[in-house]
Amino acid sequence: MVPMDPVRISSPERLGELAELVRPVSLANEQVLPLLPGLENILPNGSLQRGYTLSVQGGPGANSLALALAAGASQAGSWVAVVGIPSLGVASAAELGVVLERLIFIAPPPAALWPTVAAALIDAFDVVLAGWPEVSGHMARRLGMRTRDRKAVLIPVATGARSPWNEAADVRLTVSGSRWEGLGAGHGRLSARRLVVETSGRRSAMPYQSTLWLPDGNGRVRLEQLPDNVRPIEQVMEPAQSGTAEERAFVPGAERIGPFPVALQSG
Amino acid sequence: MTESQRVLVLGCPWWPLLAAGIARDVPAVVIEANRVTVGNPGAAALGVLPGLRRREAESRCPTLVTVKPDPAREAREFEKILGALDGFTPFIEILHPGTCLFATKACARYFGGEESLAAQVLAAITATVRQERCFGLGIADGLFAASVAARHSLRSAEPVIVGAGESAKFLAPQPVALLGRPDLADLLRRLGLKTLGSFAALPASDVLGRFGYDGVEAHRQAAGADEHQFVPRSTHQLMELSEELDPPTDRSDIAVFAGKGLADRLAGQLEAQGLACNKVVIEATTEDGQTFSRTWRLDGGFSPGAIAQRMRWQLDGWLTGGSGSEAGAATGSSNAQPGSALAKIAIVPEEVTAHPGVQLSFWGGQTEPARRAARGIARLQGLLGPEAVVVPEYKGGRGPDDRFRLVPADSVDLLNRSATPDFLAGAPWPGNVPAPSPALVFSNRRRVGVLDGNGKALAVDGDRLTAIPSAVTLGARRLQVTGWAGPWPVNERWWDPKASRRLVRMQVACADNNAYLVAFEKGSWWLEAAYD
Repeated sequence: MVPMDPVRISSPERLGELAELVRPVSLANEQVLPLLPGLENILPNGSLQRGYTLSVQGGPGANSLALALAAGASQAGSWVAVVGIPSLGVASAAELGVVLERLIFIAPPPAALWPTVAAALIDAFDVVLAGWPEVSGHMARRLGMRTRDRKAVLIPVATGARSPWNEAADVRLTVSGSRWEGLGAGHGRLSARRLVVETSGRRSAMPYQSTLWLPDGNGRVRLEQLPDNVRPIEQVMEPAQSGTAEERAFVPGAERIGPFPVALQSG
Repeated sequence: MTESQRVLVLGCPWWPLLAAGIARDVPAVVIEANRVTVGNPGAAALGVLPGLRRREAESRCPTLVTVKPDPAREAREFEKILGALDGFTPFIEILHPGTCLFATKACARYFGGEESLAAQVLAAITATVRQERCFGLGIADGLFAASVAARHSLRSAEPVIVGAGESAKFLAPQPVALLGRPDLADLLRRLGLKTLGSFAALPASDVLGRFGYDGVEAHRQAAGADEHQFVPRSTHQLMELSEELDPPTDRSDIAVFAGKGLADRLAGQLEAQGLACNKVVIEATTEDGQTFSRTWRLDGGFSPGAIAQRMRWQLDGWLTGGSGSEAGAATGSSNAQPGSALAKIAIVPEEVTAHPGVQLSFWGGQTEPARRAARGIARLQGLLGPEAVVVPEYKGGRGPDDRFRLVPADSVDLLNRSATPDFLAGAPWPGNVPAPSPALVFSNRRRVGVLDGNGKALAVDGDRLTAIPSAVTLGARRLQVTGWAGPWPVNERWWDPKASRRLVRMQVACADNNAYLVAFEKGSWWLEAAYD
């Protein structure tokens, strides 16, 4: 970098000019991928931000949620790669809106090749859905950094309450409830599903829950209600009805990980 | 204008069926995505024509044999035909599996004139195919006129030879549909131009103004003018690309992968210089020094994917199928099957022209993400092997696992393909499990137990359940059933004892908040998919 002339930055007006000069053309939180309407509420900032690792986990519905997250970007021209989830349903992906011409499946690689394959995918694709259950915390963090560097979106999918990606993830989406509608005792057909999704993680100010229809009766994604913590401002400012601040901040399954463990340096 | 070249075209329109070993008069069709794409004369005689739906085709001819498209097999089998032709000329060009051409100038003199050459070629082919009237043969000025002549020759079972300078006269009464441009032909018909002659009579400048570059190309073809425009060879001589295979290999997947790399590099070089290539020569050298070569042509230029595809077909043909035909061996031709492992492969662009330019779609046909993805795919194929990277292709079916198949990414042209299923466009597929589709589909079905209230296994009697399901066992897990629908019986291909399937499907919602698709087939229950 060219050393700055000390005289030029000494005056405050000049400093303002300089700040304008070195400002990125688009700010980090403006570099987003499109999202299906109806999903905005489950992500902090309401957008699928490039460079994020979104860990999707939990009970039934996690795979559909991961596909729905990728669908908006796919429709806008991004390529989507799926690795390590060999039984993912292609028809379901198409119904949720993933464009099949830009969908690639990669067979689960042998354990030794996983890091290389994951890194190659992050380099080449805008959205990567990965089912790698044995990832180490260290490797997950490194892949998260690579994702940030390459401005891709990594969506690790895990079943069960705890994903090994938890600590590296910018946002954790935990499917905590799922209920299919339309099936009776010997009649009807599966038609719609209500999914309770819990958003937490480093980039989410406070864990909150949302209820989604994924899909609703017309095969679309729709939000059923606003997240719990979105209330009129007066209510939020009032003292809490019960419990201390610590008690309220603690939500089971969404415990915060200590200080940010990765050195923030650009690769 | 340069003098037109005399060209011999030899082709079989229903080659995919002939390659599958089906005789000319046995009604058979190729079905792709539920539509007839190719039919042989046996099928045409019964009114089964391309474009029909499978159901319609089978109702017109219940004994219809259906074949899936398999370009690799077509190319492999065509190698045998080419082996038989190698005795006539080494300069054969392949248009696509099933159709090839060569210039007759030199070899017609050697074989005693065009009539004699045509008769000998046809006799050699008939001996190789062991069937009469499968290949049409036409000789004319220029490729298009010769192709039309070959088509006529199929009907008459005699070679059709259009004399020098008579192509325009020969083409004039033919319908405009032969141009192979359905949209243009449709428009011309509505403008009252029903024959090639009436289209050719338009001034070229008006055609350019109204129909653009492609229209002019069609106009030249209709007028019987030679559509080849050669540029001097020297410009592309330097572009030959080759790769040593060390160690030499006789495995087609390794050779094909190396070939794909070459094809991609060639495409990149051509693109960088603004050139298009209508003809590529694929060469292979074996360990003991034999050289094999084949020429493929594609008018309108090869896309990178198309070059790679031809490379794959050709190397597959040499290494797995092979010609080994009597004709090839008898003439001492160098184009028999390689006897040993391949040590070197090369690709040479021939007939390089300036790229006429492709109109990109409004949002850009080849975007940066697409190019980045293509590079990434090549990298992953290098890491994991070409079979590990797959893309979905719609094929249609009732079961959750039948609707799509996954094909290796390097066997399709990734940037120009369509995989969008017609069920999304609202076309019905009777007997399908209704949408929404399950997010997890198990290609190896697992056995499950479906139990009634007393813990006894459930069965299906005809199309009815013997009791009401109350629990599902999945390995050691036992899940309470909270809701169920079905049974939905499916009886597929009941007319074919080998391929017939009879099963019932049932959706069950369980106490673990998940829903499953289970099927009862051959006396037991299977887990087909989970609505995860």
